[in-house]
Amino acid sequence: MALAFDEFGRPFIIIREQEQKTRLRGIEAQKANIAAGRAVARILRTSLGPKGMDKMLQSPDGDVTITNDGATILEQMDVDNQIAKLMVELSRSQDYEIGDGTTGVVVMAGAFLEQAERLLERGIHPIRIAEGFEMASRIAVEHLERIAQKFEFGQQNIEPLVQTCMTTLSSKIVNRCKRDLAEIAVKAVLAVADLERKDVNLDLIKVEGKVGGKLEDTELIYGIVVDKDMSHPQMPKRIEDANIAILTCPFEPPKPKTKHKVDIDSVEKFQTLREQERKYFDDMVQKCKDVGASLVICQWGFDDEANHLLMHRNLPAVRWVGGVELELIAIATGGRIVPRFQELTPEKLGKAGLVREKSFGTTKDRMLYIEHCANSRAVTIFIRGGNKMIVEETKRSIHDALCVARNLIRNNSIVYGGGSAEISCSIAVEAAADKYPGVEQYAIRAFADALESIPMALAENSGLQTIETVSAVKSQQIKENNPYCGIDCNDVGITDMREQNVFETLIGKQQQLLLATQVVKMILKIDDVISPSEY
Amino acid sequence: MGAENIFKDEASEEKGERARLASFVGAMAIADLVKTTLGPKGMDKILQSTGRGHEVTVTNDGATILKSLHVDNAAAKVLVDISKVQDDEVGDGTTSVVVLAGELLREAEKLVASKIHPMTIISGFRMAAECARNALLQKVVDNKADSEKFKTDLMNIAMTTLSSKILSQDKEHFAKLAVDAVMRLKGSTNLESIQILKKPGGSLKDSFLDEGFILDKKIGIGQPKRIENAKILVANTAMDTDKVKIYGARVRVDSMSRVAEIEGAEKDKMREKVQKIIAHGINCFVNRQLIYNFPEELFADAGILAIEHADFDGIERLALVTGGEIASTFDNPESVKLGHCKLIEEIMIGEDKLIHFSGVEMGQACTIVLRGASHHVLDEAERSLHDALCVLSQTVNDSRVLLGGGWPEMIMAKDVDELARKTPGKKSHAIEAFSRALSAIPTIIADNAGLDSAELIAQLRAEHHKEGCNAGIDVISGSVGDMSELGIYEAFKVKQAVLLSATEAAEMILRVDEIITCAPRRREDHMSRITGERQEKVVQWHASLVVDLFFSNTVWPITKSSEDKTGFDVSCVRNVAQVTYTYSERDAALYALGVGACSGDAVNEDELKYVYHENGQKCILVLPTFAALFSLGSIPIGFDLPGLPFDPRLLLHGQQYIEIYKPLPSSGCIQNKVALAGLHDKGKAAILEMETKSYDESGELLCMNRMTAFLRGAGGFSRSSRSYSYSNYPANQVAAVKIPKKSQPFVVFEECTQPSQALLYRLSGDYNPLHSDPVVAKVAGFTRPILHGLCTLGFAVRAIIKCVCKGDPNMVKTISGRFLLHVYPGETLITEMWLEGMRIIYQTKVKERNRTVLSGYVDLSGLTSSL
Repeated sequence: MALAFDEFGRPFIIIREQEQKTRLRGIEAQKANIAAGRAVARILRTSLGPKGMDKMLQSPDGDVTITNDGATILEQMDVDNQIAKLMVELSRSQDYEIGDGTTGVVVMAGAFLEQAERLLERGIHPIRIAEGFEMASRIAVEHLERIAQKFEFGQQNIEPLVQTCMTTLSSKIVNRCKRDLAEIAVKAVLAVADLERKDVNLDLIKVEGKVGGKLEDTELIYGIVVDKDMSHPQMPKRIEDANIAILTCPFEPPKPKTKHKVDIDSVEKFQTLREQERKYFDDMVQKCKDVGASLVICQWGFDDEANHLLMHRNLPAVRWVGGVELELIAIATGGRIVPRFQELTPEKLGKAGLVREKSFGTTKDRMLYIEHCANSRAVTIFIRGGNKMIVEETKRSIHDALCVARNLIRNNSIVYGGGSAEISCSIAVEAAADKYPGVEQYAIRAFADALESIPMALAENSGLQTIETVSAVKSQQIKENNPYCGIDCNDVGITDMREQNVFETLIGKQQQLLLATQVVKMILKIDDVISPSEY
Repeated sequence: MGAENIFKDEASEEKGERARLASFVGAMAIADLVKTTLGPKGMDKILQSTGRGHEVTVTNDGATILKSLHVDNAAAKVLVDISKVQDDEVGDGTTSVVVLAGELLREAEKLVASKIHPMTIISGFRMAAECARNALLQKVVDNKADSEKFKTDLMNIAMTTLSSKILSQDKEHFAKLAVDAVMRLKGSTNLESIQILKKPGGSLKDSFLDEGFILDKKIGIGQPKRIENAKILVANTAMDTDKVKIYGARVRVDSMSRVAEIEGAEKDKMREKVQKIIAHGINCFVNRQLIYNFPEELFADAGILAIEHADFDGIERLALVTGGEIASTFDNPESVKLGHCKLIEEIMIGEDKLIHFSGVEMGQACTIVLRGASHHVLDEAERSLHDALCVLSQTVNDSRVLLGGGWPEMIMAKDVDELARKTPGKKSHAIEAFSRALSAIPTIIADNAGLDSAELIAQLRAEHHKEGCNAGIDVISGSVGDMSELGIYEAFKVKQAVLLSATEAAEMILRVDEIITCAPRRREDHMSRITGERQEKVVQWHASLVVDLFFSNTVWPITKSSEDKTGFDVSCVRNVAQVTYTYSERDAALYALGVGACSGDAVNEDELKYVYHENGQKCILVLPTFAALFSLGSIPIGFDLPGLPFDPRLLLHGQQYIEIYKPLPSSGCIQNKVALAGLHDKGKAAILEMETKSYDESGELLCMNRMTAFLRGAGGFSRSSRSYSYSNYPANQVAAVKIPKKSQPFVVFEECTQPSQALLYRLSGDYNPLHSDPVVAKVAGFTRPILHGLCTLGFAVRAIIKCVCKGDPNMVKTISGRFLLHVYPGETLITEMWLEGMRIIYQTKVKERNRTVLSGYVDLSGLTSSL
């Protein structure tokens, strides 16, 4: 340690405030890091697969979240350990990149770490292990590409897409109506997808939730739902063929940015000013009326007088609409956001086939539906559910399903699920291992073993005999030379995942492998941890 | 670095069976809590709020009870949530849904204990719920076509709902009220148009439904009290002063006459506005905003009834009832739709005058006036009525009805049971459990009514095996009865929502196998890192040793925030308290050892005199800093500052100032007079100065201590804008010392403290565990116990006496020290001294860390000429 003694034999400290730091070096550091990484993976392990369990998370403010979405669990877990934070980052990057498989990637990284620990104990240098893993992951990724299949679907033939989304949804609490939700997700993605460019802008899909009703009441709206109501209670609740003026200026007298004062010093001035003011409101409403608007959506509030004038002139209006929603409305209706009344022209109006106000339950919750828009590219998924937690969880599940559908549209290669891809990769990696001379061979073999932990976890969570099931599937794969055999989680008696229609996107799986290997490599390379002690 | 510890400090993790157990227990506790309120003979709960006034609510409405609970258990929160949703969606069945979910979990717990996987239980529950729903669907009755029968259904449902509430005595009366009100809505579920007015007085029976509309307002003076064939203008406009809305406008005049002119113009403007309003040809004007005297007078002149300040709901309802529009501009009288009603009059309910609109055009809104003995009764009556109205309005839309009194549960249980028999595999256990949970509901209803539930349920089950049976529990007669004859009906929608929500919630809780609780967000700072046992220890110690706390120059952890601050009067705290302090030679010697005398060399003549004298103990000398101990026993008195609450643990000892008038005797009985020397408000913190004057037996003034303490979190008590400051001594006495950085120190003295220094010093009377208990020290943020601040001061002054005063302790006249940083026992102290006239400025550093820990000055009485 960095400690020396002066001529009187008193300790002499080289690194300042050494006592306030803790330090771990060499194999100790690696072991501690691996243990931390595995601890995180262990938490998520039971959430893997269609029979995975949920986690209940209580936030610092006491709110409760129930989920089995890996990214969400890790996000809300109060993690303090640096390595554990790396794992959280890992699942987050999978979430950003792919949107699904966030649990799997962490479990996989945990398995790699576990194997690495054993190799370390045998005295293999961490860098060699890391290199071996790197090679193995390359083999596995290539193998995945070999066993991947093209997945055919079209605008009309959406069934295959729905099946994929159902696989994703079946592991969530919403699997009771996975069919409905999957259809909603697929339709939503197709509505906004650009099949030519193979691109999907998920921003155009708004996922809105409201507590109450049943999960079955969840619906897809080809248009926008805004949590607002008409500004005047007596305005019409239903407008057909609406021409919408989208305004970001308030129905109020203008407020110039430069500071000014209008001095009133005589009765005449007072009266002119009054006259002027009245005219302002009149003009504003008239302007809207003139361009042919039949609905005004405004980002700001209205004055009472303006409100009445609008109502009086039979011009329904919505006030205090948020900026994001305003943009969505503009996109959907093909209108332009108008910042000044003077710039209002008929061309800038948005068009919608139907605008209606809908009320819910016994409370006075009302929402505005804007449907049959000119540009139906923006859609809204409106989720109902028994309580806030269900709604939130459904939102997350729908997000996963949307991501899967998007990935398929981007790249329609798929691999089969149920651990079949992992087992197949494991076999391929193991076969390839023998070709590598040197210590890396061990690492590659360990990688193959680690890959098996995903089907193991699946089998375990489904309540099956773990080792028996996995070895049976593995031997079947080799015997029949069929890389599509997987774990039968739903207990239907078929192990061929093609028949069970359980599959995942190729890029998702590849990304999992690559990301997990990367993180493991990073963790293995750390050999000194200096951290401030906790007092 | 523990491998398992990946969470933040207070975050916790519950896994597997433990997690499941925690959620089961939480959920069942909630269910058991509301269980006793179920059914017509259910009991009420008293809820006392923790807010101001400790308001009391008496209720048996499940949603209301659960809403007011502070629940910490995560699973329990799920149940509270579903009851809230049930309330929002259907309005009734809030208790049932929680009880059913609780029963489901109770059954599930047994299954889990017998090693059935939660996922299997969930799939069984789902099948059972679906089956139960189908069973209900088969048995529903829909009388929508027959309006006469439909109305009876509604009556029955209302009576069933109300029978479990406070209104059960007059349930027929109220059921009729509710049905009438809902029928008026004509299918709308917007309950806002039904106004419920609560007026204490009379009995519940006096409550009535008014076909018209009642506005809780008074009619302006001089205006007609009764108008027939009223034309009403409902408005939302400013009738006080109509402000100029153009931005930046202001009135600027150069003479009084102009002011009058403009005022006149304003008046004219208002007059004009009123004229316009009158031009609508109305005889009643209702405004949401205030109406000032002037326009009110104008209206009175025109014989128009003007009502001001009707709340927004009132306005909307009035517009709905009378069919008028809410107007804000009045330029086009011809196109504004006016409201009409036959008669407006002032009526009296109890002692209050209200305005009654009768004979309205559109009968969509109505008012229910509730009368009752007290506010509690009225509140509960309103909740009950609200439940009934909700259920009814939902039933109007979905007219399917079921029998009540545990009948639907038995029907469902029977079908689910049959399903269980047919289902192969482990799921059948779960399905069977579901049926048991369902039949628990009638059991609870019977139990709550004090009936023999086992007997009744057995009878009921037997009855239900006959086809087309209508048997349910008749709580009134205490037997099994025919529900259709008794007229006990429930809405299908409510039952279905109960069934589905309860299953969903149970499923959600079952799926959890791990609970991760984040550290609760801290309200105060990062120091509050004490948990459980430790906290108790600290608190206990805190109670017994407030005095010692005062001497810690460190930060104390917080366990509770201080109370609301209120202003206080300083005059009442300039109190003078007297405390006696007795000490002997032994104490003086012990103190000297405590501040390190003779620690380096036991035969050092310079220092031996503080602990030993050849002429006996009576002749030993006392160090001047010993005076600081006099104030020790007298501090608690100083804490009695009325109106200045603070947490003693947040206290920092900042400065010590000692004046010595006579050499201290080696033993004695000292009279201390304690007084407040100063108090300053520094915004967040307060500075408190306490003065202790010590007199010897002969009554002669011996010395004076003034200690300055920094009370964190106690500031901000000033009433006026200038922050409060008070002190009773001249300002020059506090003058902070300036360390002459440039010049070399006159003398430097270096001395090692012993590792046991703090343990030795505390025997002089400062028993704060911060200086001896490693745990407490850790909690306070130190690696080990720290040295007392006054001990460091003792070291410094001793060094000055040794180096400057040639070992004569009686030369010291005044000592001032400001504590800057903590010292760990065992560290080496370097005291640097500068001479400045009769004053010695000193600064003490810790050699190991090269940090200044103490600085101040010492005044001497007559320096020796050799200096």
